[in-house]
Amino acid sequence: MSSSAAVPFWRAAGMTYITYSNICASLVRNCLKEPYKSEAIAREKVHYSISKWSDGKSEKPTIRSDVAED
Amino acid sequence: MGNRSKDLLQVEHSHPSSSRESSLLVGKNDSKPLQQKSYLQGNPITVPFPKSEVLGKVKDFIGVISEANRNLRLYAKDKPEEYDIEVLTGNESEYIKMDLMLGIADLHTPESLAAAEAAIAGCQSVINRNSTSSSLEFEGSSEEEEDEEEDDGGEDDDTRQSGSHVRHKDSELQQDDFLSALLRSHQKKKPSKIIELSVQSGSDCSIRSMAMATLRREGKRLSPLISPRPIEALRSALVPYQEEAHGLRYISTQAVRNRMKSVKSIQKITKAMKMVAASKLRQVQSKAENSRGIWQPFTALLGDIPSVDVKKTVLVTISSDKGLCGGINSTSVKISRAIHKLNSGPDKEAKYVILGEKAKVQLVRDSKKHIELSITELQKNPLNYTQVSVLADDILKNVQFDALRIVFNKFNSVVSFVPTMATILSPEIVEREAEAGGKLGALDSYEIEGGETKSEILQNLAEFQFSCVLFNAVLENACSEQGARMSAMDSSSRNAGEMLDRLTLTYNRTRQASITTELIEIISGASALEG
Repeated sequence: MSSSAAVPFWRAAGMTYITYSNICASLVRNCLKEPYKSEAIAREKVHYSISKWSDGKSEKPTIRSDVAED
Repeated sequence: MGNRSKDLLQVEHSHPSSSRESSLLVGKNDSKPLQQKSYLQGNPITVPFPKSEVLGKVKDFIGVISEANRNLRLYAKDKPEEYDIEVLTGNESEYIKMDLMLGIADLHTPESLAAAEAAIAGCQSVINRNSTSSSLEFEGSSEEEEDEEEDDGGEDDDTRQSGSHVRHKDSELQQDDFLSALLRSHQKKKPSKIIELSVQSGSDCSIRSMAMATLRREGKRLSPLISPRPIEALRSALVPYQEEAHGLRYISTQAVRNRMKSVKSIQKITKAMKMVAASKLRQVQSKAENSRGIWQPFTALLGDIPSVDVKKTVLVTISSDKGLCGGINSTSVKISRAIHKLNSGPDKEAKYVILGEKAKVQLVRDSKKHIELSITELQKNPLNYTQVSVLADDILKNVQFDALRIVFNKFNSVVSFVPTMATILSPEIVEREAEAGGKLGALDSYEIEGGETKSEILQNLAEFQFSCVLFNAVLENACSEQGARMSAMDSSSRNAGEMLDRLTLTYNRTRQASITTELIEIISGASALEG
């Protein structure tokens, strides 16, 4: 029941369903017991570099990574 | 004795001919005492003959020669084309054949002769055997040549007797000797015959004078061609030949050995890469096969309509970051280009979102205007859903689309990859298609729970579908990449093995050939000693 009410809020915050589901997934992972918890968190590493293109030229690539942070 | 020859020299000097020729004459002049000496020693009982009339003829003839030479020069000036010996009309009835070899022609001093012979004999150091007696030209040559000379001397006697009947004066003998020695020495000194002349007929004087004139002309013609330092030229011409002959004896196996070493190390590398690809494939293959279960419900619900006609298409081309994996990247790029062409037109536009370095490199060449986003370094860590979903989120936030088309290589087996396109429609298009009926017509029969509207549900579904399909596509492509790399590395290490076999065969053959040659040399040398 709470989820049905929550939808407009995260949409309004500029989140997509993917972001929302990822946050949900990380919450579930955090509910795991050790050692499964750290194992599951270590598995889900995000690392890529993305660059936008405009007028046939690539802009400076930005690196999305949580490897260094963790 | 010197009078006649001096006369002759003065005749020469009065007509300033080429230095080449006069130096030749001086050289021959120097050799005369030896000639005479040996002649006298060989025949000690020479009786002086009565005065020859030939001598008078010769005396007269000197003037005639000089006159003829002067005339020759004058005529040659007037009509050079007629006297140019280089030009052959083909109508020549009689000619004197002269085979000249350059460089050796001016070996008229004993030092140069000794040097040339030393060089020819393969001896590097120049032994100046006759530095003290510069006049002994013929002694500068080897003993063999001296023997020859004695034979020649005998022949010469015959010639002289038949040619000019009576000789009784030293001067006459010397003059004759001088000419014949000149001709003979030329025949001797040059490996090929220089002059083919018959010095037998009675009118040998005229023939000789003609020969002299010809020699003079020839000498003039040759003088600019002959290098000022003949020995150096001769040596430099000989040395590379000697080196070549030296190299031929010992066939080097170094090059083959080096090549074998490099091929072997390449084979090692490709084998290692194959092993790595195989282990990576095993990891990613199970993931890819498991991930197929994620997108199948979406396709069952929302369908996969490749033929949908929309205004804004975004092509997600998936490729690898690394190369050496066969043709999977170029396949996906080719398919992407074709789809781009299909989905672009006056009122339609298609944009690229590129995953992976290799497709970027290929697409930058011709369609960089249409690239919207490029993503690399995806496979630094093992692929996981969180990563791909964050990436999908990024793509959704950055592009406007009516339909997303993901192009990737679907993994079929280690050696077979199917280029595949998955289509994800935007919620608006899903609704449009559902209203239009067809495959998506059944969507209306679903009941919606909760407080959300249908469009909200479809939006969420479309986003989640995209991330799931992209996850599967990335995994399938990674799997195909590893499989392709494995087979490519397998074939390249097999090729390296074949190459190595061929090289080993060549190496062993060369080695065996050199051993055989050495054995033959030793055996034949031993048998030559025994025999």
